[in-house]
Amino acid sequence: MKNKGGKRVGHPVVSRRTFLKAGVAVGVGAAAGPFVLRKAKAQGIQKALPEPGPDELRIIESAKKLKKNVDLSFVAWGGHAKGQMEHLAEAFKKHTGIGVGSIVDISFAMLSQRAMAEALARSGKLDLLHVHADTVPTLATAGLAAPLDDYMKAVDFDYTTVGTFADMSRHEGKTYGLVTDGNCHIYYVRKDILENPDNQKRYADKYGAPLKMPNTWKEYLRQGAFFGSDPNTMTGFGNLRARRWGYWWFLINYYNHGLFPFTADVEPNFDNDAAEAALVAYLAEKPHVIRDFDNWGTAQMWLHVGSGKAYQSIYWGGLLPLWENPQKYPRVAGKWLHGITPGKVQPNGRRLVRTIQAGAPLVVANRHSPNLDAAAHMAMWWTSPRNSTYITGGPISTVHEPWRPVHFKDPYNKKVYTPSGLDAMFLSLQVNSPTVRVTGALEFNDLLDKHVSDAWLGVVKPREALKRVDADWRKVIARVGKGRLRKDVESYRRAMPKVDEPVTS
Amino acid sequence: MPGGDPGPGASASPGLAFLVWKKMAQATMVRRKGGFLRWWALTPLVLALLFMIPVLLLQIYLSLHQWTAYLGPWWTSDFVGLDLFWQVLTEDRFLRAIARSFVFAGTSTLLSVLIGFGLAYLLQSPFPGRGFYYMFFIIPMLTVPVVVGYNFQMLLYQSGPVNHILSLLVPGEVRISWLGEAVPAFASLVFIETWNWTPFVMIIMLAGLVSMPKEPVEAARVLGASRRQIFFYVTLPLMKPVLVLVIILRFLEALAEFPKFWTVTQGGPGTFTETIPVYLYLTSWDYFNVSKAAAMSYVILLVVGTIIYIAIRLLLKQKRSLDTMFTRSGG
Repeated sequence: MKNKGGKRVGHPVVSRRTFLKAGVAVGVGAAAGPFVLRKAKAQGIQKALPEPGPDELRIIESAKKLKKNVDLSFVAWGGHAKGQMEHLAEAFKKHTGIGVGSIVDISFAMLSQRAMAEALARSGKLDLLHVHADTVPTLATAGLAAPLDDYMKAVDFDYTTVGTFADMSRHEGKTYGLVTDGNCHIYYVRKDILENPDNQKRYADKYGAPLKMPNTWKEYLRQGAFFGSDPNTMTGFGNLRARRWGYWWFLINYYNHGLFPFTADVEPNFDNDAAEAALVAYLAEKPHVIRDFDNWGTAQMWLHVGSGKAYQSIYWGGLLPLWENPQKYPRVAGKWLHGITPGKVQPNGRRLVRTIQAGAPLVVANRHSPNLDAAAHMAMWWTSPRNSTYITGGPISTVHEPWRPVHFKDPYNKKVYTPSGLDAMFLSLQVNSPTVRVTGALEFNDLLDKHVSDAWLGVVKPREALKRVDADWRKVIARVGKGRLRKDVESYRRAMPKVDEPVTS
Repeated sequence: MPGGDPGPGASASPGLAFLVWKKMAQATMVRRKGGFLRWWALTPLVLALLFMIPVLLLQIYLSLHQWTAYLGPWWTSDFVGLDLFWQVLTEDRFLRAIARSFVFAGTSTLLSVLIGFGLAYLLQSPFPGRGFYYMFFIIPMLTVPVVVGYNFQMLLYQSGPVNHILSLLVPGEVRISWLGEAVPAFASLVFIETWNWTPFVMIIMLAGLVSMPKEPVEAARVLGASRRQIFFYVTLPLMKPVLVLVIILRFLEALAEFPKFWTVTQGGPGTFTETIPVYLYLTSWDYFNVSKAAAMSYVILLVVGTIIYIAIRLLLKQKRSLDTMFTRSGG
């Protein structure tokens, strides 16, 4: 219908309702389509749910004795909780009547805060929580995490881990959580670039040293500078420097200098020459990286490295199934050498290699839950030898990486992570170190990160940044109390690697 | 006249008395009703106060005691007097966060008001497609801030679409690290905030422009004033109360902005985008130093309260000047 001026008036040909309906249909289709396709594709290579072995049968028998028919609530990031953990919970429900009814899906970065909120509220409505290993002392002190030792003893629970993962879930001799994910940083370097004869010659001409997989930080930095001379075409390093994450890479350097964040007298230990050298090494990457502000696990850095724009990277092992997948990342798949982070010879002559865990998640049972015993059994069920092997072998990209010795012998895991990738993970886990893990870990870590981040920006000189870390930490130490922290620091030291260098077998 | 006839006036007296009583009763009822209604209208305020007062009292208690959430129940925390207030007021990080918040709120408000007013001015007269433009311009405001944050983070990636488009427009490849360097990161957040909330300003200004009395503008036009003169000497003074209102609302809203900061930079790089809400969040939910957060909140409350007081005074002044203007012009 048109008016005298010829302009269209009244209802349009397509009504608003029809338009909105069509919009909703298109939206739902667009959102669900790829998911359904991906799911179907994933199902094709998904390994079967394992039959319970002797360890799992003991857990089932113990859980049956509880005579419970309960659906637990589980606070976790969906990426962790969906899929394998969900399938196993369904199986456990059939065996014992104990299942997972609701998954409270929140961002991984928010898990500790959610756990602390529950520690204060003591609602008991959240039975299981998936938290960062470093928050164990805080959550134990706050009275949220329940010790699981008695439950573990009752079923003779096998908690054998590579490296010190078991100690990362312990505090003052008690086990407050069970690991589900061996989140650990391994070393990636581009084999095709490293072994290219032209590059070998150019590098040898320039430095008078052969171009080989770096064994020291000096070699590592030199190679990064060499191949990352024009970061717009290729960066020398594919590591993160974002606020709240970037300091992990500093800590690798720091630990590698044989340092520990607290002195014997529970004083901060950053204002010294060795820590300054570690920070200077961390900052040396700046001219050869993209200046982006990547958060942990964001697609930007995956894409950057995965699209062949970084020469080397110290990043988490869970990216192996992506970067070695020719369908997803054809530019880099099959072109990697995997290994451990470079090491450093200490003043006493021994060589030390250290890497860092990327927020290894633990299942923690809520002390205030009316279903604490059922929750403890579910935690053990997920992390038992066979079931944890099933969890760590994800469909295409897994977020649960291997952590038990048995995981590294699993043929399916060898296929998912590649044999050399799996070897690199095995080596790295042996020298895997936690981030600062004492009561108040979030504050200690954030203050360290803040000043390291300021140094990265050039706002303060490295030594000044470290002085400020010490000053800020002293205030927190005074608030938390040295008496408490002394015990925490002991637990922290126990969670540090037991070996200087990893061994292959 | 005891026992005698009541007389002629006597029969009227009860009637009159009744009438007087009736009138008085009616008046009382109205008064009572009014009073009742008045009190009824106050109920939400009373309830709000009942809800708020315990919280405020608890917060005062916490700000005078040192309570760290994971170290034990709040009622066992040590009394520290005004130490925390002193700590906060002398803390470089807190003062910088306040300064950043003010710069952020000030610049984003200024830009939103300038652009929003401009758009409203363009949209005030009917023209073909006006409805479409109106809808188009308000889309940013309808987008959830967290979504806005994540989307802009993707767009502003160093090898992302924004730099790509800029590279097409200027010679050479643009490789600005929008979120990785201090000034670009802060400027990006100001831009995102402006993009998100300019429509809000536009809507309010448009409402103000449409409801503005037409006579002064007509009179100025008849007297031969140019469009520029009409805008600066008639429209702008008439719009002042709306302008002041929108500036206050926008400024306060921007001062409290958190989701964009958290999703885009999390206070970084370094601490260059760490504003009051970000620092408050970190203090209470990362450091679990609830007492210090309480003290910080009171300091901020004082600052914001002062701003609101000045703003209300400004608004009243504007209203009075407008009333005077209309009274003089016989409006």
